[in-house]
Amino acid sequence: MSRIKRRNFIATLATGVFGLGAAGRLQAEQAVSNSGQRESSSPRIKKYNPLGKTGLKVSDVSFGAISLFETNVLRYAYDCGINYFDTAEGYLRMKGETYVGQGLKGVRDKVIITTKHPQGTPQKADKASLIKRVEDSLKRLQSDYIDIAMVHGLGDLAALLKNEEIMSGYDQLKKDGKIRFTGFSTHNAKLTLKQALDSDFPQVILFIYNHMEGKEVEPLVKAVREKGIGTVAMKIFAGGKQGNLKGMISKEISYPQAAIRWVMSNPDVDTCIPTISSYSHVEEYIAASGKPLDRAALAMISRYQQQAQNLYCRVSCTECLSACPNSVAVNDVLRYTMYFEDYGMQKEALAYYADMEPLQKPLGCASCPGYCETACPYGLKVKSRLLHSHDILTA
Amino acid sequence: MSKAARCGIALSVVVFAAFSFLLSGQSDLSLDEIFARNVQASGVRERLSQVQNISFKMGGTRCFASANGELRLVSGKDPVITEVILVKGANVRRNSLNAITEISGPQKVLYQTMAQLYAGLFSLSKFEGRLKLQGLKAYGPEKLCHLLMNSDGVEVGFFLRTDDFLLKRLVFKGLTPDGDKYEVNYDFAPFEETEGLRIPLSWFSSQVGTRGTLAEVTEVKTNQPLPEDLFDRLEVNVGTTEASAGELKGNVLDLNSSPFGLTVSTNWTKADIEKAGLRTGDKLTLLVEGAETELVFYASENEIPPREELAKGARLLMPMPRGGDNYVIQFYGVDPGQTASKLKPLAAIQIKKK
Repeated sequence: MSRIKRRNFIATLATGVFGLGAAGRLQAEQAVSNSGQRESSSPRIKKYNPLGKTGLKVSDVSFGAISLFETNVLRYAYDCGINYFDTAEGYLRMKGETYVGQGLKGVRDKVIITTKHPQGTPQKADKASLIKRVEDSLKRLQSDYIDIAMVHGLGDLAALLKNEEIMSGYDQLKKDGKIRFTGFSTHNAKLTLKQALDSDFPQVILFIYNHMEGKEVEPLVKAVREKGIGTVAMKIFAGGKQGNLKGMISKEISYPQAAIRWVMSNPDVDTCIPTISSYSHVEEYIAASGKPLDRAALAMISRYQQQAQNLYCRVSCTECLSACPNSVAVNDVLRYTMYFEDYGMQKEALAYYADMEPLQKPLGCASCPGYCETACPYGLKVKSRLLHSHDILTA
Repeated sequence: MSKAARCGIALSVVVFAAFSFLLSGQSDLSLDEIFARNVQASGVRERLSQVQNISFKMGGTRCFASANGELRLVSGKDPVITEVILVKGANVRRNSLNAITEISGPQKVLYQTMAQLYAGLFSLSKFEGRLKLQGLKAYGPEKLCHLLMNSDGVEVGFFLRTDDFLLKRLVFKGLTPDGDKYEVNYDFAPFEETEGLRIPLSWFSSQVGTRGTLAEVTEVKTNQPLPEDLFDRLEVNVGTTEASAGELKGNVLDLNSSPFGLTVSTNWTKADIEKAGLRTGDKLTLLVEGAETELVFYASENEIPPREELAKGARLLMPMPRGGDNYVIQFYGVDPGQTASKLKPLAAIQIKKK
């Protein structure tokens, strides 16, 4: 009896004693295996990078778990070599962490899990609340610890550092072994990455980085990486508008693969977290692992840039924010519209928008001359987009 | 050796022999056996002979499938039908706003396969004799049984769960007419009992390179009394259009209101606009059951002025935003009042150039 057959037989015998249902499954698998057909192979992660100075090594292509169809996709990704998984307290209407916990059960000690908690309205920003929320996350994740606990969507690190309650909460959680490293995610990298250079709080940072708005933050990314902070790129598909553009898949490469290669060609980026929803996403994105930014990838990137030039709001640009006399959160509103229109996350987008302060919404924009539009360096029709955004996000 | 030890060994031998016997009967599942298990697990052996047709809704699309493998996909807000896709025999045709096209290439194979899948009530029963066993494919701890069908140069992979032999994945791989990669994946949710059937009530579909969408199935019905010619009828229900110099007659297709105004989708297409000879900036009168409203025409989205330049209460006739085939009437920030009260799907509308 071959080793594999013997092992399968022992498994079958054992399950036969403990449960006939499970035995039936193993028999079926065995029976199909015995039919003389070989098992199809899966793609593998080709490259792992150190995550700053954390001592962790992460797959170059990692897992963004903001939109999942089923939890086994997480486990498939793990089996293909992905070892870094990003979720958040609020993802999938508070169920995201639960799905991650279910999907990675049994391999928890072999993976790195990041989760994120916003600090500020409408959440209570005190020590006890933070500890309670992290403990609730641990229950949902079915884990005793979080590898990297991030402040979600941080706009200003200086303000966070002044909040002694929150800082003390994170210190306590570290002391108690409930979190290993701290950091933040940000849509305002130009400010927060600069601030991170003077703080020990961020050990890993998650920021927007893609071929449409990456160049501006590259010096800061390099600086924080040199300081030893782990760097994780998000929004790597630059709006994910490829479904509505032409020529986004060729024989050699798909647009997402080209976008991943572009991001990971920067040696200062440790990993990236494309949103993975299905088995096909796992296979498509992992195929880009360890691959160079070659001519085919660059041609694909160029096609996307040409077509999306005036469609994509560079969320980290923020030129419009200082131009708006009414403090409308222009980039956030347009980001939620992107979730709604391009990511297929309508319910989440509506919820995010509903949570915004009324003052941040474009309620008075119809009668404004449109300072944001004048300020936009990319020529986007910002004002009409804002009005359209309010239309669809309140529908 | 003690008596207890001897009993233990004897018991182990009995257990070993019993499971060896069980396994011997299962050692080699053939394609036929896998196929039979799928049909059995789907619970369709008897139901197939009883179900003449199945219909269900997926978002804004209603699907009708006959037991013979004919398929009709209908889009539009009732009673309006803006698009029909029909699969019948070797033909797959699409009528979108009265523009009829023949669907070819891998897209055609996809529609034909889905027609057969629905006809077999999500079992493999309609693919008998066309599948080859490829072995197992592991997705994490889950191993799926991989069957392959080749149809007009497109590889169609069926992946079955190994615990219940029900369909879990469907993958289409081929090349587009331009020679580019074509790959579409369907991931099915576990099958559920509904209307006496056992079918998946949601699935995630994605084309390689895109994010994909979740389809949720509702209003499942079987054996509906359907018109005999349902799978022959390609016509849409978008009213009729008449175009002459400076004048257009047509119908409302859809209405959507928001805090910023009202969008009225019409059945006028670019061809109608060209026949009427409309140019950007033309001032028009909209007539709805005797009520009149002033409009300004814009031939393309790019020509529409920034919103701050549009006076409050601006009314435009413009192309459907985001690349649709038809034109819309847009009422900005104003109560369209008397005109709106007369607007409903298929209501007759008319414009005249001033």
